[in-house]
Amino acid sequence: MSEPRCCSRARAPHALARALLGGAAALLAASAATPAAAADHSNIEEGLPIEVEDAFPIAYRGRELQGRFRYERQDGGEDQYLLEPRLELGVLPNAQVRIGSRFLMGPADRTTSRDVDLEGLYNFNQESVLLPAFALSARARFPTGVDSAGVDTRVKALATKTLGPAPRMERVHLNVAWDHEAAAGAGERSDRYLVVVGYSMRLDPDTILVADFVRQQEREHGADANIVEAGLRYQLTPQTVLVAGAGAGIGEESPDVRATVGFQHSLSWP
Amino acid sequence: MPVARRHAPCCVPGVRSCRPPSCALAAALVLAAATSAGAILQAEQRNEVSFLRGPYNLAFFYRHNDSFRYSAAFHYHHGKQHDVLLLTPLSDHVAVDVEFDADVTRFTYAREARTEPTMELFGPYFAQVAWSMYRAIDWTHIHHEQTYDILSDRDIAWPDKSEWTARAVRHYLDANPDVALSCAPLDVTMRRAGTMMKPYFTYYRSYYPRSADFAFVAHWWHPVVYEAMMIAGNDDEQEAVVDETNRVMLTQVFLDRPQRMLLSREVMPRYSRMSPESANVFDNLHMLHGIIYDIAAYEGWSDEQKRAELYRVLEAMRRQPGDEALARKFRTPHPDMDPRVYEPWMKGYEGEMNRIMEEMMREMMPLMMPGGMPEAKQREMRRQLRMKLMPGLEPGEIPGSLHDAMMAVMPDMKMMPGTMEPGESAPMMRDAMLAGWREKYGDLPDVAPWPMQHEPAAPPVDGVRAARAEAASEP
Repeated sequence: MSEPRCCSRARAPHALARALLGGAAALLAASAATPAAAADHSNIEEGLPIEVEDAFPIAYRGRELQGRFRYERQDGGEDQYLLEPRLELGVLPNAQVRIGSRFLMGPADRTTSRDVDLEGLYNFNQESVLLPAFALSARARFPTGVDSAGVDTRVKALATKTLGPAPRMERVHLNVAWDHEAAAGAGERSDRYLVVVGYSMRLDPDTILVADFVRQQEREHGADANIVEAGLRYQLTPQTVLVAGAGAGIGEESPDVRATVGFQHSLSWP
Repeated sequence: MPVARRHAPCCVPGVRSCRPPSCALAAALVLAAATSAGAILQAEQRNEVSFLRGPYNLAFFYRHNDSFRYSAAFHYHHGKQHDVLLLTPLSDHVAVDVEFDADVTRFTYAREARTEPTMELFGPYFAQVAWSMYRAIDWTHIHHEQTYDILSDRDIAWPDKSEWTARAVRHYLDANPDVALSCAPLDVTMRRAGTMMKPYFTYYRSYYPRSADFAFVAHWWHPVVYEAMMIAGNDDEQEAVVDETNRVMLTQVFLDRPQRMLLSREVMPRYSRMSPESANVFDNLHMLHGIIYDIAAYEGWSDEQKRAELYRVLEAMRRQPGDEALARKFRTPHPDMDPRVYEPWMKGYEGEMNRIMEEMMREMMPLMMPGGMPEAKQREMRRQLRMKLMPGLEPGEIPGSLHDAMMAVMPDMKMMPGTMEPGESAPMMRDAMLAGWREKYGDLPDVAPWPMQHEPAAPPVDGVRAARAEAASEP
């Protein structure tokens, strides 16, 4: 979600185009340089390319390198760039662990940049005709980065339901998260929520369309953001997925615009 | 960005009685979770397992991309077919069969499948009904990919291919044991499954003959591509032989489709001798596809009943203790077959699959007709069986399942308990068939291993045989 904000600066011209091109190049370079092998475009991951995540984990014994680059123009006009590499592992049946770090760039506030995230997700069930699939995830953000203090935590409940016969594998998703800031500053919330309602469908054999509506409390007391996003997940090879998405805020406390490119790549050998 | 609130506060820090929205939300979540707990506990888990890592991963994708796309197109057929059958009223079968076959055939010829689909991607409804069947299918398709990759990888020396294949087989059998299919021959697993007298048996091939024929093409292609690589070796001949095999598929096999499921021992005899476990797993998978489609097409049961029967069949066809010892108990009737030639014996009724079916029928008959039956009835029974095992409904064929036909021929036929019910086995019938197999084949010598010490050189195609086969396949 949107990162901490402070000072407002004038935006550089063509910042979005430059940032996206640079980010895409960096992520593709990282992908190509890695000995790799079955990312799955239908297994929707947080931030790749939009906020919504499905209730399904990576397969047991799966190993996946993921990365994303996001540009966001915040509601005060500041530009923020996020580069996030992460590694996802299927450590137990129906469970995954994800470790990663976020590098914040640009004129916007960089507090918590380079913090390390460790997250586990457990899926409780395969969906049935009536029952959605449910999962629960927990994340700890360790204060290894810029101006960080305390371990911030998140607990998130996830549900996914395929819509009946669903010839295009149409699915709805619900994510509800509770964030706790260990060292909230004056005027900041120590607890806040995030709700995401999402939708996905298969456009063609290799492409999944994803869309969501995000409602979140911001760190500052009284500030709430609403964002509408959409994106595509494209299966490039059996083990590589490329993603791209964009979103726009609704209301004056929401980010103006955001755009994300990223990839998932299954590691195959050794 | 000012931090002053613009809206009414939802919580005042320091006031203990105040519950922030996140707390209320958490409480609601806990309540919802508790409410759903019972249902969740009843549900199955996904239990997906990732593929085996190896230096060969993706070798088939990069070296034989056309073949990779054909394989993926066949799996498009397999995945989509589940939902088509489960959601189509039987009364619509003629139109749906034509439409579906046209769709999957076009998809294959156009090489539209760039990557391998999971079953769920094109059959999401069936995934909600019987998820474990998809686990078994996808897991075995991964084994297909693994073993194609090993044979395709130039960096794996020819003499090392069998050991890498054995490693992939061990992983297949051990890493996902509750859905890994048996490495015993189909002769054994079909007898364990005991599906012949179930009320759904032969529905798919009778009512969706074009779609079933398509599956028979797919189950010709999968094994012959192994065999193409087995006769070509590691060098550039591999591309040439695989490409020629694909050409035969597009120009002959699709136009004059096999009328039965071909077994590994028939159309990939060399690979079957190198890795009989892997070959048997594929036969069991290909037969499982047909049984699943029979059950999905049958209208007499609810989704829950179908699930019970599907899981019973899976339990019977998955790997069981002692299966490895049976892996080599088969013969190779066409040891010199050439994957580049679509031989007449590949097309018709006569072959290993239907031999197994006829044997099972003979083994069951003493239990179902303990007093015997007149010769005329026996002839009619054999005639109906033969028609039921061929795609479509022929003139004189009794509609419905094989069971329906048998009951029409022999109304006083005795059915064993468990024969007709979903999820139930008929132990007496099963035991009689297994005893019949042991009596006939228990002492069969193991099929000999295939020599892998030296890389083969592809033999020239027998021009006379190839020309004759091509002429015979012209529409």
